[in-house]
Amino acid sequence: MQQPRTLPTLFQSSLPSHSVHSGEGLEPYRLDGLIPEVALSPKDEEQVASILSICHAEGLAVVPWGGGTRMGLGNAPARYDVALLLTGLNRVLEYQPEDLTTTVQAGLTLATLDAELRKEGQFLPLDPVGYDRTTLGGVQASAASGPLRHRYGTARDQTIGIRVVHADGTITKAGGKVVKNVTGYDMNKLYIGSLGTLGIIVEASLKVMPLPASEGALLAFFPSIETAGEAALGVMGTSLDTAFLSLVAGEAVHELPGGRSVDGAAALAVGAFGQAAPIARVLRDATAICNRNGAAEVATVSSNEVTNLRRVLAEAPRGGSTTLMARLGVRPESVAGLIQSMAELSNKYSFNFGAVAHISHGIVHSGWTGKEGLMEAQRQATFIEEARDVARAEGGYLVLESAPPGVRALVDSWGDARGGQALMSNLKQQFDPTGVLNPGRFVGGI
Amino acid sequence: MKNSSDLVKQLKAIVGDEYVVHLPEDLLVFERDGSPENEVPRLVVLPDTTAQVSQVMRLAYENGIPVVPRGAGTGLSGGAVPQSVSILMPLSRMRRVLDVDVTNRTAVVEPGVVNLDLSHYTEKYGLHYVPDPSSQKACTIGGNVGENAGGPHCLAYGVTTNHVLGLELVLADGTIVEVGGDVRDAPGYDLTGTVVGSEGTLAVATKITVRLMPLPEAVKTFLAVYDDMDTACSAVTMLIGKGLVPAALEMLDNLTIQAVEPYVHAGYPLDAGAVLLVELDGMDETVKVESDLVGNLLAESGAREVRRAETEEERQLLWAGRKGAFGAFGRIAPNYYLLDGVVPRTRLLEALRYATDLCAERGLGLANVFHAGDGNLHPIILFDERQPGKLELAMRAGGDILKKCVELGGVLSGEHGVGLEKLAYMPLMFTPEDMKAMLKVREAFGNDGLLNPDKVFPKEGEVAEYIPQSAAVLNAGTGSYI
Repeated sequence: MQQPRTLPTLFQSSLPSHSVHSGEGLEPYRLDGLIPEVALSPKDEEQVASILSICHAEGLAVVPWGGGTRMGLGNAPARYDVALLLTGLNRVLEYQPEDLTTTVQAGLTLATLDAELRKEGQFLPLDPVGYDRTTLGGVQASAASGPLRHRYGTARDQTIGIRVVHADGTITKAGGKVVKNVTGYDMNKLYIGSLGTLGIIVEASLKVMPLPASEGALLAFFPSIETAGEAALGVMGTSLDTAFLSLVAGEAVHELPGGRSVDGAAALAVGAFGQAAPIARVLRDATAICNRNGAAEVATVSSNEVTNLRRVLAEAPRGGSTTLMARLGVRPESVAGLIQSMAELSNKYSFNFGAVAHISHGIVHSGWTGKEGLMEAQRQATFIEEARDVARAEGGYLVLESAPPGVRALVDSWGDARGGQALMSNLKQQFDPTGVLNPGRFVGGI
Repeated sequence: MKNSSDLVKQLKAIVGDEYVVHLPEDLLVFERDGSPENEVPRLVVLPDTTAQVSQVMRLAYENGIPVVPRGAGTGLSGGAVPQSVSILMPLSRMRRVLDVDVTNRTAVVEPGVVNLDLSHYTEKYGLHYVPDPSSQKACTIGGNVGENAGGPHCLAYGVTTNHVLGLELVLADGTIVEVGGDVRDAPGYDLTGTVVGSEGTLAVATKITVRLMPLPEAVKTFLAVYDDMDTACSAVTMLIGKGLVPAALEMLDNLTIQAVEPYVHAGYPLDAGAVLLVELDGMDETVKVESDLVGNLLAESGAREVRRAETEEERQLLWAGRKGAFGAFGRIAPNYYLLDGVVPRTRLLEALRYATDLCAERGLGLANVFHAGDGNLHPIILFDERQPGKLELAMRAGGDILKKCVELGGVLSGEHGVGLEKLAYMPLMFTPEDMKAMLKVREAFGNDGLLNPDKVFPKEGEVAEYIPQSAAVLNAGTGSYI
């Protein structure tokens, strides 16, 4: 039998006392009503390794924390003994600008890394929600992405190497520090998006990009989601080199610059990076496509406002008092139809709904709020199930990214794995047979 | 199944009489891929459908017979070389483009579709499949998935894994599984990304969903001529450092020029120390602006001459020299050993100097033609294996160069894979624990040694120590190096 009160003492020999938190200090690490026995803040991968080897030996369940921006993703942990806080691993280990690569510890925030890169005229094109607080390891573990995925892809495309600490404390590396590598299996892909269920990412090597000479964008407002969708597919169907192409609908329209005064149902944000002439061409052609599809208004965004617009596109459906958040995925051509159906369903439930879709990848970030009396947990859960059915009918999926604990207890966060659930369970069995890492939080109860 | 005639009978029942190859003289042509390794398989089976692949695999699995999948056999690391006990399964009959979805910019293809054929097929929609290995006229998408193949245009657009969205897989025991697809980021582990580049050791891909990209509006190709390799390497670092990521950035050294120019007549000066091929593509406006920039930068980079291809014929000619390079080395020496190491871009020069000095010291020829933009070297060690000891000398030199690449912060292979050829070098890069983690993946996919066995990972016991050359490579027969 475990003696809960002695649990923090288990780690005394591997960590300095200021890195071991217990008692009152644990409240911030509450997850789905569960509070861990101890929270640990290691400073390096060796400390992470000794923590995990102790947890492995003692049969303790560990929930890794980065910036805490995406802890709403995944089901409630089956067990939760240790909160492993990784923000102490926050150093840039290698950065050679001429190589366009960098190696950093996983607890570094995107914002800090970005500031370092900008000094050398470079950037990392990963721009998910929560940019200021989110850590690189968190972005990788949750495969989070933002508007720039349209042009640059996601963490799976930018990551060239990863070091992980396994459930038993073993440290291994995957990939390398060069931009092209097929030596051995591409284990980076396995760890990215695995929500810390196979190993804890402690270090990552990344490709970085030269900062564009300048940025340009336009915002077009449309009377309907359908017309905005047609315009988006129109832009996507050209050879225009766009940096982002985001369809905005519902409440999220009002978050856009100038969006408060517009009564349009939807908007399209089109961005371009590079020299003045190509940007001008993209904006000119995209404006024509928007006008052809019945845009009520097309506004050019001044170049120094583009970064802010991108921020809004990353954050919009999830800002403020949003109660429910979800990521939906369908084929690009089904995006507008899906958003329309979501709007109608939300209307039926009297929920306020907002969405930002990175349409070329078919990713729809959605958020909902509602009046007090309408937000009873069972009602929200039923709504999510209905919304999930709508996405499924379009060949897609819905992943719940945030909801009140009462709702999360009623509805699975992931829905079905679309294929390969047996393989996934086998992988978990191979990598973490005793369930040390985030037990129960991933797809299919992994 | 000990009895081969029973096995042949059962396999014929699955794929049809004419698609089981079992006569010794017919099997000979299947003994090798593009690498020096060779071994005649027990049988060759050519399935035509996923169901047939599944049935063949199940039959083999139940009888404990290894299966080696094969695309076009252009691989350079021995990944598709069979064993005498194994069934070799080329997927070349499965060559249908099943779907081109123009709106969503995806295609679903069978594994035997030839890389370049896919791009030709989708050209009419203004789309193409970007990764372009030099063997793209022959190699298949299935093989590209197995090896995570690269190519000159992967500098700006990424390699195979960045363009594959989903797979239909047949596992070692014949189970059919679909992973990923044209709906992105579906819940669960990224099994698609895990399988791409696993060299046919996790599963056989029977359907592949790829993303297509628009054909570029404009393409501009430059040839910059340098007196020496050092200046050419500095030019590469300078271009990348200036924030330019061209579509392709390729280098050929003097010996390569000597080999290729007299028969391709690409216009490379025979006395040049090195030439750089730089290609820009994209929107008209982008290419116009960047052409001016690149033209000026190359002129300032110490190039003694900078040429632009003014017509498509000129451009094709410049590329013919690059893509035809390997065949031309027969003019210089009867044998070559091609390496595929990668170093950080800033260490290119150091790696090249090391290789040059090493080969000079040991009386071996060395040519270099490679993807300079991403640091992917292709040192080509030239020798005549009829001279006693030269083959072994060349292999040892290759091992030392790869070791140097790893020391400089690089890796063993940028695009050719480990296969049989680099088995012995894996411990240079990976600890036993690193490799054990990979083997757990193989275990999870249910491959307990029957699906493309003895590839990628050195056998247990060999894991901990560095072996200077692969015995299998040294034993390669006469005439292996074409």
